[in-house]
Order: sequence, then structure tokens, then C-alpha cells
Amino acid sequence: MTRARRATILSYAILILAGFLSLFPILWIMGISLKTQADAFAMPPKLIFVPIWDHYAKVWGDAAFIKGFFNSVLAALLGNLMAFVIGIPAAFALNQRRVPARGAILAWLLLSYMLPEFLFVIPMYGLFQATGLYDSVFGLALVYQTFTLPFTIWMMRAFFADVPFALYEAARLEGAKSWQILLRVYLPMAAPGIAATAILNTIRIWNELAIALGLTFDKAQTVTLAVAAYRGYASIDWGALSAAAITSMLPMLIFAVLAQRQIVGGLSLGAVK
Amino acid sequence: MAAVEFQNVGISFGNVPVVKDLSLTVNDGEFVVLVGPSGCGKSTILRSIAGLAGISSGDMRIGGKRMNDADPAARDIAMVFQSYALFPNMTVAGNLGFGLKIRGEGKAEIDRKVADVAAVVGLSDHLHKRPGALSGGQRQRVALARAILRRPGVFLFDEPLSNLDAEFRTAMRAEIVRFHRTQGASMVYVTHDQTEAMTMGDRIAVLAPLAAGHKANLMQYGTPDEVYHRPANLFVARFIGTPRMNVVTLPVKGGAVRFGGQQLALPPSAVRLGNVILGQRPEHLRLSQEGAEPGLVGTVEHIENLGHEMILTFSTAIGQMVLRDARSGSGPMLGQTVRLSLDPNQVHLFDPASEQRLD
Ligand SMILES: Nc1ncnc2c1ncn2[C@@H]1O[C@H](COP(=O)(O)OP(=O)(O)OP(=O)(O)O)[C@@H](O)[C@H]1O
Ligand SMILES: [Mg+2]
Repeated sequence: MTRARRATILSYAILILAGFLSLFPILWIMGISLKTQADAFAMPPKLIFVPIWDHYAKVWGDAAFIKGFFNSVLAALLGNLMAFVIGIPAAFALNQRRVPARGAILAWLLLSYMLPEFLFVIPMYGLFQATGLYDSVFGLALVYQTFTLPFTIWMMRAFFADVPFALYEAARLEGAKSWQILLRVYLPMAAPGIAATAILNTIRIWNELAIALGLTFDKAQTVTLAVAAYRGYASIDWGALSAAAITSMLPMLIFAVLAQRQIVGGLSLGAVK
Repeated sequence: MAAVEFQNVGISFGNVPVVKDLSLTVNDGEFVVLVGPSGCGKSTILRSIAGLAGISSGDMRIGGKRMNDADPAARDIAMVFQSYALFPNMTVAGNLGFGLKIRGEGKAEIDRKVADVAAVVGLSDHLHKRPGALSGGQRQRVALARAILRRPGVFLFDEPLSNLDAEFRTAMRAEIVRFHRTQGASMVYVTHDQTEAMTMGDRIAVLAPLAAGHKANLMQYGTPDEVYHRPANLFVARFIGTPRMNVVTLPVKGGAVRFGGQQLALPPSAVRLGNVILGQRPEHLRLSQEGAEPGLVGTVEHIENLGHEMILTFSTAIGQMVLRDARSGSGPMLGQTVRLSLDPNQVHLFDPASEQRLD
């Protein structure tokens, strides 16, 4: 066996192992969601069973869950919209030739993206109560800007930096104003970047729990809270909990499969030209 | 049609001066080449005409109007970038029509103008393609066509041929010169290739970097012949011409210098100096006939045979000498010792202190 072949086999072995490790919990939960309570906790685990759809029927018929699901969709849409409306011009401005302290600003943006979410919940709680933003999807999307906005600016700036500055100058010579250059040159060229950023924003918003827990009560509950709701005081509805968890994963899964190329392209930024 | 005038122009980035005290006029319809080593400010000067680099002092006029702070789009100029700066997300037609669209012209009008200019530069079959699908030469033409569409008084070129291969570059060179003749507009053309400078320009501005200790950038401004045959200073003498001009510093004795055994009388301006810098182009240096003329003894160190000519490098007591020999047939062999003599009518003299030409 040649060195190259051994290396290939080894890397496949590692990939299969890593794939199994990351998929195992999901497969396990999927198993629970399709089993009766008795089957779900049988020892040794039942690998072969007759799937039942009762849990899914229950979850999909549950108004609270459906509301949470669509609240999350709305929060993701609104959160992205706000982030891009503000973030794109901000990134464009940050990408100009001479920006004082650009490095510091970019580092600060990345830092604020990494701050723990709960940090914002406590001060916002009082403010939201006072302004009526408490328990509203709009309010949630607004607080989500604490991480989506810096991230969006940071990402879009990186994509704009990949656009040769000579294009900006050429457009200027043709009489284009800055906003026209942004709209007609930078945005089309950074389209894959917008897609990647939107996807990553959406994933983060979709999975967000801490802020939603602190700033919503009923009307604006998100899908993560709706999933958690199957964990009652006295007992846990394991089947429904699992079915809800799997359901909540589906949009992201479809999203990821469809947009895999953009995500990878977006993460490696200018590396692939 | 427009002239470009620089009057004591200075350009700085932050507090680093890049251009100092530049005074230079590009006449209406003239083709001027800015040439000089990397970093001498060629691009900066060109970009200051376009409004892409700010002028810190002095005046810059286009068509007689002071344009120091005018909007780039209002300067009656068009620029061809080194990278072409085509919009990769638009088709060729989109690239060409971009400016017209921005300026709010109608679609039919844009289509007609784009089709017209595409025909001029031979791009009619490529209008639907994106720049990524074009060859280097075709991209170059798109960039040129985009400039033509603006019908500017001044065309600006920043090393437009440097991304092309040698053969195509020669063809494009001729094309741009022809284009200049038909357009009649002024052109300012930046290059660091002296062949381009010599073959294309009505006049050449030779520039030096301030970083090398020069008080101003402009070393000489003249026709290719003037710059080649009467370099105003040592910098120009060394920069223009390949192989480079031979340059030696010689002591002045009794109103003359000695090149080996060859005695060379100096003009009055040089007589009073202690030393003088003497230059001679490789094509003017001669191999002495055996015993006939006195000269400088040299040993052949290196031979470059280009077929139609030989470039011979000699080591001599006063330094290396390069000789270009257009004569075919039997030259000296490697290691052979010969006598070199100067053509006294083709000697360039420079003051060692000021490095300026002495006549
Ligand atoms: N935007 C800028 N900011 C700071 N310094 C600059 C800027 N643009 C150019 N310079 C400096 O100005 C000097 C001249 O640059 P310029 O690009 O005009 O040189 P050039 O003659 O065109 O050289 P090349 O042949 O390499 O293109 C260089 O030292 C360069 O580093
Ligand atoms: Mg340059």
C-alpha cells in the first residue's frame, strides 16, 4: 500500500468517525421522536422499531409551537433586514481608502459579536418593559442587532475589501455617486458574501435562546422556547420534545444544504478568487 | 481637446511629499509619456489629473480651467487603468454603457453608442460576454472603448500594456499611437518601459523619485531625440537607453581628460573642474584598429549575441564598459584583450557636483 493511499484511508476513517460523532445525537433524538415512550427508553436500545408519527402530529398541531416557529422566522427576517440596511452602508464607509482607526473598529466589532448574549438581557429588560418592546418580535430583532449588526458589518467589509479599489475609481470617473457605486458595483460583486452573511446570521438568530428567554413572555416566544416548553414541571414529554427539536432543525438543514457553497465561500473570504 | 498644465504642483500623502515643484504643460492634442523608475510618482501625477489624487500645492489646469479640486467626472478626462478596472459583474456592453446610464441617457441611445464604439475597437462580437471571458487584449480594448465613449479632451493611461505579452504589446503600442492620431485628443501615458516612452511620445517627461534625494521630480521634458541624444543630467543619461550609457569619472588635466591613451579636449565649461563625468552610449564606443588608435585596454568579460548585434562587456582599469557592435562577423572572443576608443562627437559630459549636463 502506498503512502498516499494510507493517508487517504486514514482521512476517510477520521471523517467517518467525526461525522458519526456529530450525527449521533441527532440520530438518537430522531429515534426518540419516532418511538413510543416505552420503546424510547428500552434497555438495551431498540435499533429496529416501527416508527410512529404521533409526536410529530402533536407538535405540528400545537398552536404554541407553530407560533414560536413563525416568530423565529419573522425574527430572522427582521434581524437580517435591520442588519443589512445599516450594516451595508457602514461596511462600505469602513472600506474607504482612509478610515481612521479602521483596525481598532474592526476588532471592536468582532469583540462585540462575541460578547455573551445574556449581558444585554438585564439592561434591556427594564428598557423594553418601559417602551413596550417587551415580548415583541420587533424588540427581539432589535436586540439581536447586538450580534448580527457587528457581524454583518465585519463580514461585508471583508467582502468589499476584495473589490479592487480601481473599480471604485473607474466608476467615480464615470460620474457615479458613492451610493450608485455601492448599488451597482459593490453589492453585485459581494452577492455571495451577502448570502453567506445572511445564512450565518439566520443560524445564530434561529438558535438563540438566552435573549428570547429574558425578553419574551408569550406573544413573541421563539422556536427554541417552544421546543423547551415540552419540558414541563413534573414530567418531560420526550417524544414531543424530540419531534419539536427535529422540526426546528429542518429549516436550517435545508438552508445549509442549499447554500453550502456560499457558506464555505463566505467563510474562506478572499482566499478563493 | 484640452491642454493640461502643471504649475509648481506638489502632492503629498500625509506629510510625505511624493511630487514636488512640478511644472509641465501637455499641449492640446499632444502625446506625452511620463517615464521613470518605480515609485517616482508617475501614477500619482496621472491620478492628480483625473482627480483621484489630491494636489497639495500649486495649480493644475485642464483646458485652461483650474481643476485642482474639481469633481473627477467634471474634468473632461478619461482614464485607462493598468488593471483595466472593468466591472466583472457586467457584460462588455454593460461596462461600456455604465457611464451613459449613470448620466441618465436613454436605453436606445446607449445601445447605439455602445454598438458604435464596439465596432471601432473590434468588440462587436463580444458585447454579451463578461470581462472574465475575454483575453487580456480584449479587456484592454474594452477599457479603451470605455474611455473613447466619454469623448474626453484628455486621455490618461496608466501602464495599460504591462499585463500583455511582449508580442501583443508591440501591436497595441502601434494601435494606441494610431488611435491618438485619429482622436486628436491630448494623451498622458505612464510607463516605466523606455521603449514605449521612446516610440510613442511626442514628448517624454523623465521623472525621478524624491526619495532618492532629488529636489524635484521632473528631470527632463523633451522629444525622444532630445532626451536620448542630449540628456540634461546624469539621471536621464542613465535611465534612458539599453544597455545603459557607459559612465566614468575622470580627472581633468590641462583642459582634457584621458580615456586610456586617448586624449579628449574638454569644452570651456568643463575645463575649470577637477573631475568630470564622461558618458558614452554603448553603440558609440569603438573597438580600436590594432595599433592604429590609442585607447583604453579592456578584456572581454561577457558576450551577448543577439544575432543582429553583439553586446560586449569589458573590464577595464576605470571600470566596466559596454559596447554594442552592430557589425556582424568576427568580434573579439571571451577573455581577449582589446583597445576601446571613444567617438569624440558622441561624448556626454556632466558636472560631478550637480550632475547636470556640460556643453
Ligand atoms: N495612496 C497613497 N498613500 C501613501 N503613499 C502613496 C499612495 N500612493 C502612492 N504613494 C507613494 O507615492 C510614491 C509614488 O507612487 P506612484 O504610484 O505614483 O509611483 P509610480 O511612479 O507610479 O511607480 P510604479 O512604476 O511602481 O507604478 C510611492 O513611494 C508610493 O509608495
Ligand atoms: Mg504606477
